[in-house]
Amino acid sequence: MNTCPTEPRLTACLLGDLPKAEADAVHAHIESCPACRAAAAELAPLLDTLRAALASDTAAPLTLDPVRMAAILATPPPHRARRRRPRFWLAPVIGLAATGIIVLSASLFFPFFESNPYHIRKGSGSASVACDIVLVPMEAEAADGDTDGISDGPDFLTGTKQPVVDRWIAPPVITDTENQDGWAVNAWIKNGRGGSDGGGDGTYARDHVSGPERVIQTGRGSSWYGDIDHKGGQQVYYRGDGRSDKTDEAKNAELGIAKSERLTRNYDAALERLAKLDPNGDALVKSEARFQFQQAQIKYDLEDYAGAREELPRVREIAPNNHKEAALLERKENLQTGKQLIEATDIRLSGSPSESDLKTSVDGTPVSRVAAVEQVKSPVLHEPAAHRTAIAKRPIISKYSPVTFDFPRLDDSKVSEEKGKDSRSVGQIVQQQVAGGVVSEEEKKESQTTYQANAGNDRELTRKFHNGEKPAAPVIPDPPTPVPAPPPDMNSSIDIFAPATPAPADIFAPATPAPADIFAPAPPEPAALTKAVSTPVKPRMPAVFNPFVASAEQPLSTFAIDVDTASYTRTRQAILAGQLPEPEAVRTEEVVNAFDYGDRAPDLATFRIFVEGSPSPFGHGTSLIRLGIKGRRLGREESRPAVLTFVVDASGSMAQPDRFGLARLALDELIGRLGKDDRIQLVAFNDTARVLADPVAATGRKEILAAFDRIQCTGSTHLESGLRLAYDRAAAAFRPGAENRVILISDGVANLGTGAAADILTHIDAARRQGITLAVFGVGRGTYNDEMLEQLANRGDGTYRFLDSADEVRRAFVDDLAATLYNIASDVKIQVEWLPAAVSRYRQLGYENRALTAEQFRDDTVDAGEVGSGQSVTALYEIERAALAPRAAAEAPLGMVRVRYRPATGGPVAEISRPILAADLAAAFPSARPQFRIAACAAAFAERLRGSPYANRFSFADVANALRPAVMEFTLDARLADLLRLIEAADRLAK
Amino acid sequence: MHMPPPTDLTEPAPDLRQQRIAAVVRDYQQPLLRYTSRLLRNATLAQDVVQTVFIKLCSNWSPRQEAGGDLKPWLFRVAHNEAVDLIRSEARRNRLHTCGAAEAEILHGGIHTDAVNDDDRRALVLGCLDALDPSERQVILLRLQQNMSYDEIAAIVNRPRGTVGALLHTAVKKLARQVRRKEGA
Repeated sequence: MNTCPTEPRLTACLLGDLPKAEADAVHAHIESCPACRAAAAELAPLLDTLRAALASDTAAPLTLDPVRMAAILATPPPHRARRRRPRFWLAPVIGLAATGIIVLSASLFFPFFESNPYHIRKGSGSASVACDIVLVPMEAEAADGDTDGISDGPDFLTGTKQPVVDRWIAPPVITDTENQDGWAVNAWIKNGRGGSDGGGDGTYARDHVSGPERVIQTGRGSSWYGDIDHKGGQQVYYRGDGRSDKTDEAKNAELGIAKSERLTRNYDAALERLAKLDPNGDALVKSEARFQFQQAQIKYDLEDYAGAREELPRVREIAPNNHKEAALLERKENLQTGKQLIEATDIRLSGSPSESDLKTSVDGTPVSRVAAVEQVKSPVLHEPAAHRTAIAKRPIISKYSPVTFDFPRLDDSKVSEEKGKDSRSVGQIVQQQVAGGVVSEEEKKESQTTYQANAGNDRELTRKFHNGEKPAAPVIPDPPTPVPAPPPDMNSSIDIFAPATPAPADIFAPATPAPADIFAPAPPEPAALTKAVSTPVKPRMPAVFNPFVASAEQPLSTFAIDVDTASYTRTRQAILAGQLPEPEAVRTEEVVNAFDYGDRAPDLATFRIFVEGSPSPFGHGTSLIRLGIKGRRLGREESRPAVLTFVVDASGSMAQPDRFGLARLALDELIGRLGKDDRIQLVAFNDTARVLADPVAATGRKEILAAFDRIQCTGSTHLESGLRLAYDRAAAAFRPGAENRVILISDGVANLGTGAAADILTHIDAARRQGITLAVFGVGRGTYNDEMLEQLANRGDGTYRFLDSADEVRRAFVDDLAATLYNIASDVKIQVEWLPAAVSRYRQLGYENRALTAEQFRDDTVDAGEVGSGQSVTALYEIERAALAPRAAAEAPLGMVRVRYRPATGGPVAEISRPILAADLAAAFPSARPQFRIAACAAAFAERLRGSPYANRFSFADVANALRPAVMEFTLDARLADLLRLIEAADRLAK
Repeated sequence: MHMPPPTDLTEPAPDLRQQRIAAVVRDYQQPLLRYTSRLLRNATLAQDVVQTVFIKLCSNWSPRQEAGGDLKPWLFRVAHNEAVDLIRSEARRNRLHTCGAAEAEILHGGIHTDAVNDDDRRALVLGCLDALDPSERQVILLRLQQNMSYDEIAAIVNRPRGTVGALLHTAVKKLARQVRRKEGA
């Protein structure tokens, strides 16, 4: 028995909870006392294990279920005495309050809180940060931009989530932080190490992800701010003022404050602050060129582009090696200037921005835009002072009183682990540069060009393609060759890792919210809150939208195919139940893919590409292009035998006719359709998993159904054990050459946390490589974990559908059985190249979470989507055709679609392509094919439901009106009538 | 600027009150659920307990409580007491129905033993943790799961701050003994 007086303090010491002096004393004691040394040696690993076990303990639900939530909110308030009328002595109190309000509102325009410091207390176990919250509109983010293109890594935050984060956004699993800059900052706040400037933009955010050690080592407290939320077109920035003793860090803090002043449009204050700073003789400030950059950025913000451009060479001079911000800013500045040129020309030439008017000047001679703009000076540049005042006065900011967050200290092992993860993710990206072109036989099939996925050949084709259009057109980068050292040109060097989707600064971003919105008083808007309460509160990522991308900068748009349709089914279910679906649950591509666009399946080739388009009925002077990829239908003799493992969720939550009943129906239909060579086995799981039926032929239908009927739905959902057992069984029954598939039916309410989810995903991934694929069917509404099921299906190369009715079951298991069971190709990737000469900018509708980088297209190790027999995939692009296209542009190519896939029959990876021609586009929307119009409307409907900033210009009623004539032509297709009804219902709900 | 303390004048309107409650629920539901799930070893019961906590909060709601810093300790205190009540009543019922084995199976459903070594050890430690007294589990969970400071823990367990470290140590030592015994077995 250890009776040492120091002993009770051992645990606290091991946990790092003691003040330093005391901890040192205990450590010294441990050295001298054998009993305590032994105890410490035992407790230290135990505490580590315990901490890890509790962190990875994922059995707890994340939110209360909606029924309970409703019960809580329905609880009546405590009975209180009626409040009495205000008395006279209350008048001074009211007066004080009124004064307070006036002062607060005055602070909207004055840097009232400028001297309000945040402080970081380094206590024994926690630190606290007090700061004021500043709302800045999206525009500020647009000005910051994010082109670093490196995914910040999905794992960084998982497992370390804290209540502090929950307060703002709380997705349990983050799949993409690239466009959610606030995350990195949050994560970093959680580190609790004091601050540097936080991620107002992706670049900064990434700094924290990749380099928290910098911050941690210095432990400096400088100004920090970070956007936390994208809701309602605004971002929440935290900001505060820095305190530091060291000169370097104080300067850094000052710079940070200047940035935060810039973001809150306190340009004068920012400039003044910068003027006070001495940029010379300070290694930290100078080496990062941040001082000059801030000045340039301020000038840029003030639309003094010429001034900004003057600053930039100096930035580069100081930081010659790829100063990201400078290059970024320069690009934005060029773009902005270009935009002004165009605007000026438009005004100069005709006063209207239509294309035809731009070709000649008023006196009839051809004129370039640049020439035109020299004659017309922008009024903006004429009166800089007035203009600056106007900019500074733009309403942007709501301030709130300081808040304090407490956050725990993160132990160093955690930090290094996170660092490791991040470096891995960068490593993957580097790995992905490695070329992966597999040479296949060149062959011509129908009208398509199938050619070797060979770089030289491809380049040749591309060159011809470009030359046909315009000699000066830029040559596309050559993806299959390993990327050499960054070229000296900055613009291209920062683009190497850029994925297709996250745009650089989107200057053409939709208008910021109207001032009235911005002044809305409280962060949780009442309407949003009511909605959050009435629907299941489920933490999710905020929706991300593919922005417009200038094709001159990023001609390539690359994505993995996605044939899922679950999102549409869920949307329908929500609307029929009388509420609009959560914006995050709507995926545009899944809504669009839910319909048949009449593309004819190829007879011999695996895929055929269809292109059609017309001027967009919903955009502003833009065109909409539909790309249809249709897969071949397997003939009867070609269909391979199937070995199916049917896994059904038998937990308590499934015991409802719309869940378990549908699962039984699905099984019944499935067995009924199987051939004599097919085998099926049955696994059920709740707390544990068990095998109900060994592999039998379809003749064993009775036994299987009898076994199924013996299932009793009780207990919890241990999805992990169910999937593990199913995969074990599938592996045991594996037949080479057959279609080996696990079919999961679940309501998704699983106690599968992030740790176990990562495990099972790895498992699924490994099985996929050996040929066992996964089809996921979701049932039931309410506490349904959509994202997780989708992730499972994506990882298992499978389809994901949502079953909400017997009709939907029959559609999945009878009509589309071949597609459900037989794949014709896997790792299907699409790359669209837009010719900058013909298309000035483009935007992809949907596929946000399927984006790939340009390099990944030809990297055959990158997993992508798979396509079943006879399935078609539709992608939509909204493009703006270049205004300067020659008059004879009717035949000119706009771009090129490439599809790359791995045939299911084996054989090398193949690639096909088809040009997108101007002739593919109809002259007007009503004259386009009705199927195209349906696709356009389905996409518009989805975008509107998602709250896309590009969908502000039209209402659901507009979509319904555009859709109605098209639906009239397909009276037999009940699904289309259904869609029209849904849009009309959504219109009513939205009002 | 010092704002006047909340008085009846600042009693929020019903919908504002609901908003604030909803905000509190949003902020605290997950930590509370994690805490009670571990304590009760059952997600459904945990939801029950957390629901009860929030309903109690609603019926005792006052702006003063929200403004004061004692909301979090209050929530965790009530959650703990509710959970302990439930554990006691569950234990009684178990004895009555003499189906302890089956119950334990369900209760331990979250722990699976077929995992790799690391997970094995974690599961073992969690299993031993579950065998501790609720009050011992309370300090361990508050410190290591909820990452609370000793001050906060002191407010929740209603003991002086100085004893929290000792309480924690006693609990951890007991846990270590259990683990040693299990590993030896």
